[in-house]
Amino acid sequence: MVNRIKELRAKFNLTQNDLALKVNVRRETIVFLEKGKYNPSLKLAYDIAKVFDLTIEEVFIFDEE
Amino acid sequence: MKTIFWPVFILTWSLVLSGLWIIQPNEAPASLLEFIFVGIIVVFFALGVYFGYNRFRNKQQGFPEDDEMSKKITQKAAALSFYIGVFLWVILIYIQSHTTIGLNWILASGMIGMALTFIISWSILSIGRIKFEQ
Amino acid sequence: MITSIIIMMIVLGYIAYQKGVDLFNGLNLVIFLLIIIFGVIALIGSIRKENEAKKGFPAEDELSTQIKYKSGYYAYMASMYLWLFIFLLKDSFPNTESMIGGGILLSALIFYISRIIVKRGLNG
Repeated sequence: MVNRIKELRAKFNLTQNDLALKVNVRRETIVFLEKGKYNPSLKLAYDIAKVFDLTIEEVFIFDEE
Repeated sequence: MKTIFWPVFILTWSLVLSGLWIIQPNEAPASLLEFIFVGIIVVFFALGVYFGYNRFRNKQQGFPEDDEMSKKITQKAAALSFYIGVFLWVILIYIQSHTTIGLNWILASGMIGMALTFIISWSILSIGRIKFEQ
Repeated sequence: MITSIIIMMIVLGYIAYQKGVDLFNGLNLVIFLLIIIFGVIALIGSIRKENEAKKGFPAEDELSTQIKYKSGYYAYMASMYLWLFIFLLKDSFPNTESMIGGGILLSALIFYISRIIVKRGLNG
């Protein structure tokens, strides 16, 4: 699964710290998410998408393979 | 996790634990303790057979042997058993230094205790379907 | 983990004091040093967490919980075999306290190692 968190963060002018505080996780979690090393829970994916005012599918792109 | 891993892991450990029980010299005349040990080993063995049968049946019916939830339950149960196990060993050091219970009994109790903690926490998590979220 | 290390330090210290064990001798020294190292690591970790909590970050989130469970799972598997080895080699230890104490400390070491491995190989 790939995601657009880094790109969207830059667009919304948010630091990793800001995003972490908004979705109530540690900064490390955002780092791992951006690196594609962690798949978030449905709730976290929803919270992140909500911050950017997008749907989950627009932020997280599922690779069928 | 490979299909056969858990049944083999559990069956191996039931054999190891029974081996430990068999090689114990008669250090303490604790017949009740021996009885408990045998009981735990039997439970362990039965669980191994049950896991093996369940996986076989799931495979026959076309279901995956391991899904996301069962993996999470197993991981949480093992992690809990590890944390509880650390405390258990600390308690056992204390017991060993204050009683005349033999070293073999202490070591076997610790290992069987860790195995038992896993069985109990796995059963509670599986039956209760405890939430994994914070 | 911090609580367990503190409890272990107290129990081992009490037993060592009662039995008059020389802490600066052979295996006892290794165990003594390992306890101090783990104590320092645990202390640094708790200070870091406290600082993060002050900034408004949660002390634990879903990723840290997942790391905790995964590393605990691997540590459990490894420590079961570790205790079996200890059981087989029990005659080569100088005393019971250093044997079981050493086993607990090695379990803690395995936990830290598996934590590092899990962190590196998330989703892998």
